[in-house]
Amino acid sequence: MNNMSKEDWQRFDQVVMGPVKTVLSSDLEHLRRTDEIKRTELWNEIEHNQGVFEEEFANRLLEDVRLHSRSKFSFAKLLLAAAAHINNERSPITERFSEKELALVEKYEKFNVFDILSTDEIVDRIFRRGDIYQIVKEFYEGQYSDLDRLLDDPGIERDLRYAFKLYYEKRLDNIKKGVQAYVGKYGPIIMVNQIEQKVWDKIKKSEEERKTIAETLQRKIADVAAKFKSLEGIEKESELFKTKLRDVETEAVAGKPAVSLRSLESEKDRLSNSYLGFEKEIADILEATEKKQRELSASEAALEQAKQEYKQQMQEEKQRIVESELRQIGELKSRLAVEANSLQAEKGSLQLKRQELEDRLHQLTEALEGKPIRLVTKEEARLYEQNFIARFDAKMQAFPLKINSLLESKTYEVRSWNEDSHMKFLEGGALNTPANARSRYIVSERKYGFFGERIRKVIIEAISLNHLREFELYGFDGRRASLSEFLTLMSRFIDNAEIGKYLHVMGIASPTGWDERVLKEIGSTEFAHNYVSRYISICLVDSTTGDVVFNPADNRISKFVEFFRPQFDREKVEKIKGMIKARLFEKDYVVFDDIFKESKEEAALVYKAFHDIENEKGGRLRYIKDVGLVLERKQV
Amino acid sequence: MHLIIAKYSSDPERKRIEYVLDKWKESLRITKPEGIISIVDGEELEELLEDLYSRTARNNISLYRLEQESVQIERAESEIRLKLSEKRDTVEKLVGFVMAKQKAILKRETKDPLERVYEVITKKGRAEVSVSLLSEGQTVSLRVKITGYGDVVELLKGRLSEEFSYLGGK
Repeated sequence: MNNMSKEDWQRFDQVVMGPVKTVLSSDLEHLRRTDEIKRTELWNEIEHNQGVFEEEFANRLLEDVRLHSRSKFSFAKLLLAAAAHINNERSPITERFSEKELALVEKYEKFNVFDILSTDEIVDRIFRRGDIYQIVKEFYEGQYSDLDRLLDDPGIERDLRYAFKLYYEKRLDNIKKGVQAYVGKYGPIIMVNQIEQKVWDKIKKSEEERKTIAETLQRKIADVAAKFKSLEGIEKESELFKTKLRDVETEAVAGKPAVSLRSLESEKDRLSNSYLGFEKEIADILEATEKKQRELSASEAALEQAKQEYKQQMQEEKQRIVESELRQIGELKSRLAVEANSLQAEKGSLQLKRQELEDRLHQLTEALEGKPIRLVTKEEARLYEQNFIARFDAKMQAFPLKINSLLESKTYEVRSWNEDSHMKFLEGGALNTPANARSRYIVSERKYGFFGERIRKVIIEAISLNHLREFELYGFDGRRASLSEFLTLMSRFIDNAEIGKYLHVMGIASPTGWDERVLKEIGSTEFAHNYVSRYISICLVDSTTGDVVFNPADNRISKFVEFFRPQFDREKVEKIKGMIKARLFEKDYVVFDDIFKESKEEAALVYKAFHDIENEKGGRLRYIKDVGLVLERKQV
Repeated sequence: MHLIIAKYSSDPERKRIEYVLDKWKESLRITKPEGIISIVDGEELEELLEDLYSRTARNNISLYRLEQESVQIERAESEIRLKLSEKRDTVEKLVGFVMAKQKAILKRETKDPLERVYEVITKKGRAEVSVSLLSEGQTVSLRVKITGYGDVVELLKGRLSEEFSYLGGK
């Protein structure tokens, strides 16, 4: 059969198939622009060569080469006919093919851009929603992805069927690969078979909405971020202002206040307003974010409804498409939520900073107006801290301990603490100065009873809160722990507890006591809602007076309060108080050290006696350099 | 009175047919019947008509007697003969070029003697052009036969004669 010589092959390949190759190496668009006479010549040559082929070569070639060659002839002619057809030329060659054949080749030639695009490029260009996106959409909507089915049409010549497969299969593969890669990366593209325009429109609308929302918020956040650069300056000024307040405080304690409250007030207002400005900016974005969230929820609801309908109608394709869009909406929503959370946190921290300025000035004003400042020396504070932590530790070691987690309505019985379940933390570290010590006990349970990772269930923690800086600088402190300090401390723990879903019980002790606003706040019903999550339970301890305050609505803390409550020997305190009062009767003042030496009692008890007398308005505490704490008789 | 039924396979073809009918509309009193037109082959029509009359007004129905007619229209034919003192290969190529210039499409060809049959469409209609080549010593004699209906034959004859005369044909 195959008795072709080398010369024969050469003639076959170069001469007989020559014009066919010329046509096939070109594309429809190029052919269309080629002169009609030139195309007529090509057609006639192909026609002539096809005769030569059938006569001289066909029966000398192997079956598949023969088929292959015939299909090339047919296909080249179809391309020429399609070119004439597109140009609306009145030529007999268009009559050689059916409308179907012409339409099909015209359509597939339109997808020829995919021959030169890599998969990545296709993915990228679909993503950018450009030309390719439209073509791919058309490709699927027109159901061109299923070449086999299309070629099943008896109206398509056999040789052409072969050619279509030969020439377009690779192209289709390219498109499909690109689409698959796109789907892998970004989720389904929205045109699967038989997708209705209606569904498509819905999705398209939602996609656009998502895009705009994401862009708008991005821009807004960038705007605000730019504005926030000037926040640094405000922060510096605030620090300076606080230092100034501290100086005035010191002067006040030393008994020589000489400052214009009004100027401090106006400076505070100015800084406050700056913070407020930033808070307002954030509040605006937050509001915008919330609005967008609501809009998204509306689209979500509409799509959800559509999804349910398709589900009922068993229209899986549509259902899947809608689900994919729903997923994307969900993602954007959670992104917005994260954004909103961090904005909220930022806003919260600004509020705290502003609050702190208010608090500080408020206390200072009160002090200057004659409200007694409770003076606590660093040695005293250190003593309180040690007592507080030691007492707490002792109680926590009184086994067996019954620890109740109302979170799970479960009581854990603890018989010992291992190394991992007890931790101590210290800040600072100067001698005879408080260190904001914390002692933490962790009740945990193994995930699977006897094995598995340990899951935290309850954390009980004693925290000593002091103004370390003041103690270090001046050796004493008189400023009560403020609301902002309290909230700052809280914010450090709430997130962790919420994520870990364990109950975090805290007793926080301040030697200078607590600002009324903290006390008022923690006692209020709103407190539980506003600041404290269900994972956090708190009581506040005044180390000096021994008072413990907690939210009466918090029924969890009452079981833990005893772990934190300071204890004083009432009788001994009363005895010391008697000594002080007697001394005060003789002289105008009593020095702490004298009483401490004379009474031979614990310092803590002596301190307590001094503060009790001050509280009972029996005198006024002052701190005198080189002498220390002194109680002066009240000047009448 | 005659009924003409012309089929078409594309929109441009329909337009061309309509153009022809339109052209003859006045002189041959051509009208396009309105309504549903059906050819009935059976002879006994009474029941059908009764049925039709019962569904629509009687004056809506027109009835004609029809018979198939074949009007013999002769295809016109014209010929060009010339001799070229060129090599046969050259002449084959030249013929190919001239025909392509007329946008003639090769329909079939035979060898020995070489005959190529082309199809051409012009504004005046469609024609078939057959080109036969015969080598006679140093010269090649060429016979170009044009067949078609109407003016197209003369039109093509004029064009082709002109083209071939440039080749130095006699």
